[in-house]
Amino acid sequence: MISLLFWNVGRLSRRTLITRLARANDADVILLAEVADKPIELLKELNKTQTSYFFSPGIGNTKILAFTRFSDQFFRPCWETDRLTIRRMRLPGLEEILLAVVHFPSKLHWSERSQAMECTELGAEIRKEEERAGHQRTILVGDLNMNPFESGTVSAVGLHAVMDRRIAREGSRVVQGREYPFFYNPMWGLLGDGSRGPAGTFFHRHAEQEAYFWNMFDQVLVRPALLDRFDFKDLAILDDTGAERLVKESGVPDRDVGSDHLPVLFRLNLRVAA
Amino acid sequence: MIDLWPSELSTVDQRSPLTILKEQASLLGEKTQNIVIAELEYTPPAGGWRQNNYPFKYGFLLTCPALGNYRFGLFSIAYDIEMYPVSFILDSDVAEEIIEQTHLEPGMNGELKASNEEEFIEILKRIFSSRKTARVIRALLSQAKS
Repeated sequence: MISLLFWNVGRLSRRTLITRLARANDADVILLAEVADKPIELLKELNKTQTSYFFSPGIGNTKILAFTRFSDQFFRPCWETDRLTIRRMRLPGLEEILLAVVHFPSKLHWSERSQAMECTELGAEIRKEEERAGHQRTILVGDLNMNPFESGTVSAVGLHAVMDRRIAREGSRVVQGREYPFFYNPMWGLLGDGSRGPAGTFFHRHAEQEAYFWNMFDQVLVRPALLDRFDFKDLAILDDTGAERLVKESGVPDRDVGSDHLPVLFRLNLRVAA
Repeated sequence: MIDLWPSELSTVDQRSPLTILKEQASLLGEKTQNIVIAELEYTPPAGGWRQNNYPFKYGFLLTCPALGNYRFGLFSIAYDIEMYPVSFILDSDVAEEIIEQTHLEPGMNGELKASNEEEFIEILKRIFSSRKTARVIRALLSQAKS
C-alpha cells in the first residue's frame, strides 16, 4: 500500500507537525500547499531521526511541495501550471498512476462561477495528460477551494466527480454529444458530523444568509480505473498528529496549532497482480 | 453575373494574435537549440463556461522533449473574431511581476487585456522577460543537460 498525505499548511511554519503526521501515518508521499517552510528545512526535519524522504521538486510549479519515500525519478512532473502539478508515479512493481495535485484560487478572490470555469480547464488538462500517458489511472488531490456539491466539481465539463462509485464505474457519460470520464468523489462520505472524523476539512463561520460552516475544500478524486485499488476505509481527515490535536475542543481546525485546513490521508494498493 | 462582393475583401492589414505568438514560439526553440520549445495549444470551447465566451483560446506552453515532453502552461490568450481585445490568463507569479510594471489594469481574476497589437506585444515582452519565465527555462535547460 502507498500512503499519501495532503495538507494545506496555511502559510505557517509547520515542519515539526508535518514530520509527526508523516511518521504517525507512515506517509510515502507528502503533498503540501501554502508552505512557509523552505523545502530544505522541511527535508532536514523529515529526515532528522531517519533518512527516508526525498524532495521531489516541480519545475514550473514551486507552490505545491512534494516529498517522497522514493527517488524523485519515480515521481516526475509531466504537466504543470502555477496551480497544478501532474506527476507520473512509476514505481517498480507497481501500476503507474497519474497524480494531479492542485491548489485552486480561494473564494476570497474568485467567484464560484470563475472557479467552475477553471474546473473546465483542469478537467481538460487532466484528460489531455491521460491521453498522453495512455491510461486513466488518475488521482486528483488537493485544495479545490470548492465543495463536492459545487458546479465545478460535479459538472461533466468540469471535474465530473460523483458520490457513488457504482455510477463512476460506468466510466464516462455523454452530454451534448461529448464524452466526459467520471471521477469518484469519496469525500461525500466524509461530509457532516454523521461521518467518521471531522465534518469537513475547512471551517468558516461568517455573517451572511448562506453559510455551510464546514467545507470539504480538500478532496481526493479517483478515476474509475483505480476504484479497485482504493478503499473508502483508507481515506481519512486527520485531526491529530499523535502528539497534538489539530482541532479545538469544538472540533474546528486550530490554526494556532496546525492550519485552517485539516490534512487528508489516503492509501492506494498499486501492486501489479502476479 | 454581378459581383456584389467588395474588391478589398481579401486585404488583411492586421496580424492575428496567434500569428504573433507562433513567431515568438519559433524563436524560443532557436535560442535554446530546441531543448526548450514553445507550443501553442488550442483549447476548444467547452460548454457555456468557456473563457468569457471567447471562441479562440490558445495556451502558450514551454515544453522540453528531453524531459519526457514535460510541459508548463505559462499563459493563455483568448479573443473573439474581432481579435482585439485579447485577454491574457497569466501564471500568478508572472502576473504579480508584470502588473506592477505596466499601466494596464488587471480585470477579474487578475486577467490582463490588450486592446490592440501594440499592447499585446508589450504584454508578451514582459511575460517573456519575467523572472519566472527565465527561471523555468533555465531549470528545463539545466535538467535536460544533466
